Amino acid sequence: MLTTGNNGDWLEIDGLHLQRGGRSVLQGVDLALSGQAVGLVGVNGAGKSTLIGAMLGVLRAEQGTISILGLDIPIRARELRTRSGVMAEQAGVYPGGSGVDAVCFAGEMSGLGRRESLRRAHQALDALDVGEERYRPTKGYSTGMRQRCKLAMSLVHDPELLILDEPTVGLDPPGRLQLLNLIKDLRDGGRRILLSTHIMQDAEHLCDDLILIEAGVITFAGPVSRLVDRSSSRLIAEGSGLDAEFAATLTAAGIQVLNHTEQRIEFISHGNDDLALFWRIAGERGAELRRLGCDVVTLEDAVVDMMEADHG
Amino acid sequence: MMRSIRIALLSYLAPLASARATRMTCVLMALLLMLVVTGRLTGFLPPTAFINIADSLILYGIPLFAVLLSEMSLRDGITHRTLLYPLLGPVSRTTIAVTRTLATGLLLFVSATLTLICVKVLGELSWSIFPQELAALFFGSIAYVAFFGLIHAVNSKALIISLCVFTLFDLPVGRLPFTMRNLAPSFHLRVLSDKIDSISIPVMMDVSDPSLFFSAMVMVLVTIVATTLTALLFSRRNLVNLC
Repeated sequence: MLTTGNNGDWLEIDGLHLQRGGRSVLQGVDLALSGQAVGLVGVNGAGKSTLIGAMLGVLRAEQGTISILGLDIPIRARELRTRSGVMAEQAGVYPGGSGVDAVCFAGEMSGLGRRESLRRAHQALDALDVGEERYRPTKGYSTGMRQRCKLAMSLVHDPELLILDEPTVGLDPPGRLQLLNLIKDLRDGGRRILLSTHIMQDAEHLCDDLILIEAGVITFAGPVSRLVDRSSSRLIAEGSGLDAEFAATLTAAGIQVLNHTEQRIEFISHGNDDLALFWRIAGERGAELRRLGCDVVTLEDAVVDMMEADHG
Repeated sequence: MMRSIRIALLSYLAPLASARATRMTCVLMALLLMLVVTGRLTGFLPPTAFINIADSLILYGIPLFAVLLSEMSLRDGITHRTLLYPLLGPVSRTTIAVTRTLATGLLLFVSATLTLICVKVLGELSWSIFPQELAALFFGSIAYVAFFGLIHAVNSKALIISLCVFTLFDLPVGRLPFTMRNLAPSFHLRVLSDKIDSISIPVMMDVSDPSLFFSAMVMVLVTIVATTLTALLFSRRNLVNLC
């Protein structure tokens, strides 16, 4: 079964143009990604849902090609929809009834028989830690429970690709983290994930690759590591004796110094070895440190920096 | 194929009870039945009134209920986003459009048949032409739902347009005493239910005798053409409201 393109890329888009109501919403989208989890990030109205609609064949592009799991869209969109589960932001828990009814219905919608759907509905709800609440009417569900139920609906037919459109929207921080961890478990279990979100921390938490979309234009598509280097961090030391000579000693020892004054020095640490070296040199030179802090560059910082750079 | 039809049908039936059109149809049919029951029990309706009610149900009820119910084929699913589920499933848009249109037609046929049976029982009406009336209800239901469904597929103000088409074109043309009446589905509904009634005009024109077979074929043709066009339009449409 062909699931990826020539370079291991399972998501390939080439020159995609799409209009909505006469307005150009996607303009020349080009990307090829292979990460287990791909984040589609952008502000509200950037074109994320439109891009997902085009990927699923619900929206038709004027120009360009899309290939997902090696399937050309929209020609083989039906096959893709069989092999993927979609948690759509716009869709509610449908058609009502209890949680298990809704998940069972989703199973039947994906082509499973009634009994098999019911069996798998319980399995999916078990996997998402939904207990006795599954028998309660979905109308009374909290936002977190509703999102879990929607996730179970997208999972019930055991898809190899999960397309999640704003899964954490409306959740409180603990609920958000809980749901993200559930999705992470699904990713670690071997499923490919396409996560559309406007919350950068969600993408950072889950994704290997990132698509950044701004006003219908892809401004970045590639590994998250190209934006955020998780293997290093910027450290800031404050105290006395942090002079130019101290900085030169650090540089000579192989530590990258970013800038320094008499009282303050900023350097890059690639782990405990660099930190141990820093402490040794500080001790040898008699530097007195009052504070040593770590300035972590988050994905959000990197994306904001990039957006600002793009806008001049 | 059967699996696709089952999925499309399930997604159609699931929100049926909550659809506005279903509620309105149920209320109107219930009012009609209440009128018949009250008339029967109190005796304020003369025996001929029951005949008129039965005739009106076929000749006017079917098109008017079709105007209401045809909204449920596709428009209602787009408005309330319930169509998103079958669209995200392994079903083609053509299957969705055809299945939902025909299911709506059958729904109208079943509910109208039940109402007609109640009227006939309560009014103690003759059952001699019931098979013909049943054929009129069947062909009329699917043809009108398909026809008005097509209007819903091309225009968002389909309710008003459908009513205008029925009252300003279909009804008057269907009662003309010359061949042009063949263009109106209402004429064929009259032929099928054996209730032909033409307006009197001072000009005499040659007109061929109506045929049950011909009228049934016209209604089938209307159903096929309208359903095909609806499916074609739906397949090519960018469903922006759903994304």
